Amino acid sequence: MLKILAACGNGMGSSMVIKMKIENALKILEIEEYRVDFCSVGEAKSVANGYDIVVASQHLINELEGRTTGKLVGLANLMDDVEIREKLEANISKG
Amino acid sequence: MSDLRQSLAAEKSILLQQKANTWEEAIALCVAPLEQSGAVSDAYAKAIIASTLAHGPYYILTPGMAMPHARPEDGVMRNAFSLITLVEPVIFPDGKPVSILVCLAATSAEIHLSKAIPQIIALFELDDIFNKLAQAEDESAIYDLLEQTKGSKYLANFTD
Repeated sequence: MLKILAACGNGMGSSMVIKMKIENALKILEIEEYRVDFCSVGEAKSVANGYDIVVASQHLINELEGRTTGKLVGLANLMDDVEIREKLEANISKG
Repeated sequence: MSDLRQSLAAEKSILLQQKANTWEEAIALCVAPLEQSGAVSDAYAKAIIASTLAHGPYYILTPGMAMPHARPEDGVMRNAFSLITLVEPVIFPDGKPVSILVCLAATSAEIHLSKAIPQIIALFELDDIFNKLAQAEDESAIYDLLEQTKGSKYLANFTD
């Protein structure tokens, strides 16, 4: 199962928006088995390692460098479906 | 309140074509109606500003639009939203201009289960939404736009 974490400054609001956008993108990419959680970037530092992909806005993602063996994805525009889909697709290892 | 339209109506929290000189003023403007209605305490705007200085404006969701918020313990009494449009954009600390602000006050992370966050996403997926919001002169124009979000894939799991 693909595990993705969405992080933002204080763990609610923006990260929820990212989560909903990720779920939408995964549907389009026809990925069925996934879990998307959300939290603050502070919390993400300790839990990021359990995830395949960690997504946050571009200016927060650097704070998670070295905290996970998974992929880090920084977003310039949290609401841009194309950006999110392309960046996820590039980081999902096929079968 | 979990429906965006109902919350904006109940809190009387739509302010259109406002003027702000700085991002701090814009934050104060978008929190003010929620303070007035009692949804948040006067600590809330200060907490958003402090959090912005600490983490950057992580709540700028898309160019031109911000969803300022702090945490439940920063003075949130009940779930509530406001919607503010500015005549001229203000510049946030990372250099990004913002002219539309949707303030979010949430008592817990359970807010993500509510209809309001998907409604905000759906609103900003409408065609030409920034111009439509900028031109809106009264609350009914905002309600009309929210009406148009019905049918959005983000709202598929909600009933009216």
